[in-house]
Amino acid sequence: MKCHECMEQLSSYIDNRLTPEEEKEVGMHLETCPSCTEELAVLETVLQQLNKLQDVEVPQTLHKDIMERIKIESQAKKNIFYLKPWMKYVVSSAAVLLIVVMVFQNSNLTMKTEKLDRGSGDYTMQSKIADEEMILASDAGMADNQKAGKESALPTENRTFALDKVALQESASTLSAVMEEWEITSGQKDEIAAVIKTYAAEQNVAAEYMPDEEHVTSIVLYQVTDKTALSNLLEERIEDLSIYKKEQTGEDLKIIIK
Amino acid sequence: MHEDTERQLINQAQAGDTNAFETLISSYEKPIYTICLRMLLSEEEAYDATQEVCIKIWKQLHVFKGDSKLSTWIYRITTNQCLDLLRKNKNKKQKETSLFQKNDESEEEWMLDKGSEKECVEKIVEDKELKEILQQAIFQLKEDYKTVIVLRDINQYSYDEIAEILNISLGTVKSRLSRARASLRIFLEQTKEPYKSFFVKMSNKEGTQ
Repeated sequence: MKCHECMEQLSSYIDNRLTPEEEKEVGMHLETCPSCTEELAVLETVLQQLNKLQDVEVPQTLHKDIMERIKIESQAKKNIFYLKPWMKYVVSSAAVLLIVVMVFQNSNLTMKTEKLDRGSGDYTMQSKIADEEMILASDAGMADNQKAGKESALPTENRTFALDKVALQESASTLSAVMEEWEITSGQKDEIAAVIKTYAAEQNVAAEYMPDEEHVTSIVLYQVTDKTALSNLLEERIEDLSIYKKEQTGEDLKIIIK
Repeated sequence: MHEDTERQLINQAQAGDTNAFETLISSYEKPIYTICLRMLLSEEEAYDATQEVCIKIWKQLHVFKGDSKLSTWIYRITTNQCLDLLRKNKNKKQKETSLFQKNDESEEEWMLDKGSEKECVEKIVEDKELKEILQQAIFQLKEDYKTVIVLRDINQYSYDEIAEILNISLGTVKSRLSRARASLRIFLEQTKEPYKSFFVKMSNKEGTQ
């Protein structure tokens, strides 16, 4: 073995990472080579000193500072968690409103007559809408941007657009105010809750469980697109199921489990 | 900490229990701080970096699936945090135009000439001085080398752990460590301060023991 070969192996030799054959070769070389032996001693000294750098004095305030920040983070996380269903609701309502606005923009024949009947005395309603829109805007920035883009693209229609929105806002609020209601009777209450939970998660539907998620007696699902699918799913999974559909209009669905 | 206890604490912390997290993180604060201090050199930076690492662990704990040991995962976050900071600092320094460093890439060429006139040989030999010299030398190593030296020779992690922390093969750990140690030795053998006196101090110290 040559000296440079030996030196390359010294690091692994010290850490016992050589194969038995390699180790034997290095050992034999070291016995006959004073310069490599010296090199080994130097390396060992350096490593010994490095080892001492492990003794670090951790500043006493560190732990406290870390935990303070973790608690702040944890609080922030919780707040986001609690806001989630509400945010989903607002964002999806804003999206629905936007779509409805766009649809009516293109076919506002009926709306125009309605608008004329109402006249120009609807100032309070309009300002209320403006307030509500500001709230929506802060949560649904994207939707609002699109709307703003639309508005600026159609400057001549601005007045009509604004008035249309009055009528639309009313119809939209009527929609969300009427909630479809189902009364479900079954012996398997937990099963029902589980099926609905799965449905809500899969369909990405915001759900509110009352009084809490563990002991559900009623569930509100927001912006349900396919209610038939849900009732089919329930009928498929629950044997002794009976559904009584009290109110049959509305995008939101309240399910009472009895 | 027993593995089951740790697993339980991880589950509780993942569910948002800050007390469980406190117990869990307490045993890692020192190794995290040690890595940060030895990698970053400055106590202030190490202090801040340790906090950042702990926050990251808290925030990302939900993605920890237990495929590797928690310690490995934590030390990976730690080394990555340090490497990020070093890169940021390096960019900052380059902008400030260094007067002392000719070339960041070339290890052999850089030179901190401050105090080279001073004769240190007669000084009382103290561990503290040796540590400072050594720490300075480590800091001058290139990032890859610095990382393996800190993990292996200071924090004493096994080759397998290091391979996992850095996501490199065992063979790479072996060769990189060998080159890193050789490189460190070259620094310490320089005839300029502060390194000039390292081996002198060492031999003085050995003589007094």
